[in-house]
Amino acid sequence: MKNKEQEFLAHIETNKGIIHKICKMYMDTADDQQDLFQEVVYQLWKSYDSFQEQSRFSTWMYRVALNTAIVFLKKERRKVQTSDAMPEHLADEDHGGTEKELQLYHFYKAVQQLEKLEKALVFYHLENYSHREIADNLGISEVNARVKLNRAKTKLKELIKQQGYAF
Amino acid sequence: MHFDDIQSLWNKDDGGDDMVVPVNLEKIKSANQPVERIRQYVKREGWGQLLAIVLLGYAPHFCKTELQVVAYYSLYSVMVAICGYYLYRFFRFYRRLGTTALSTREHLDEVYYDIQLHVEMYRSWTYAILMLALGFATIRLLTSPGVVIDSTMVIKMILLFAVFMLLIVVCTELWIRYTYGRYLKEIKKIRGELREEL
Repeated sequence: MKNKEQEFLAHIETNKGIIHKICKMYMDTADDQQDLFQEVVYQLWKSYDSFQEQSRFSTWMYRVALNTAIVFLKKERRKVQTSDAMPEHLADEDHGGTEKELQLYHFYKAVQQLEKLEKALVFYHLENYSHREIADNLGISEVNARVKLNRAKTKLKELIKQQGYAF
Repeated sequence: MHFDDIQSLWNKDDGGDDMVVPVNLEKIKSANQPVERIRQYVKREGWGQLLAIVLLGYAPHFCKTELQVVAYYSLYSVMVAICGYYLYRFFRFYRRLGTTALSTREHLDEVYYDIQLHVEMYRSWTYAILMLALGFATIRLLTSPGVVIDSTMVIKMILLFAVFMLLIVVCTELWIRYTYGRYLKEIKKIRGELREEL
């Protein structure tokens, strides 16, 4: 049991960047992202036995992590005054805000406004999945995946433009 | 802007080190999944219902005659049998939800229909108990010493029962909406997004 747990945690450690990206796409605050991260790890561990027959951990992980993110419910937190303003360190390049960080900030901010399924489509696309693979993973038809993905990409560009940013 | 720009940005993003991988998996729990929240309600209610059944066993203190006590325990045993069946089904449902893995879309469908079925069972169980309660209330009213049964009394009883039934129906539906309905709605929305036509 301990060996299995260690093996699982090693897989997670290797692939945590992917889970991290999913969390940033689906949740807008650091607390919610951490909650989702924990939830994804929990769901992965819960269904780890079903992975044994799969060929690659990452392929299986993508599917479980995204499905978890899609049905994830935000914790009902007390309303905190939030601002749309950009974090200070990003606004001022002299204080460490690089172009890459700025682009990522705008990208994730726009992605967070997409529908849950659109986020999954964009994620798979950015991970270089084919339309066929995206369709299989999400349980939709290939044509549907292609059309929905194109719509999502257009919407994403529009959302980034609305933020007054272009790259 | 081209999507290729986003692609290259995406490839360069290593995710950072903000997220903490739990050291001990036993300590992590799920709390933000519709399925898990429903499980929590089912568990809490299950214990509550068991407690209520035990407490109801002491209710004959309120009976006024021997006949009422006999009638009460007859109906009580029927209720225990009904509750036994339903609570067993609810327990199976609770266990099933605990082993649900969300690795495919089919799992989401399975969970959705399972919750819907549970809601229907919950309704039928509540109304079965309601009928037994009304049956006992009728016996109690009709067998209480000094009660005169005339048309006014019958009308009063019908009105009282109608109001009581209405109240129970409204409360049950509100409770179902609060405990299961909102999560079912959430899952339905996701299924709708997946199924949406072109």
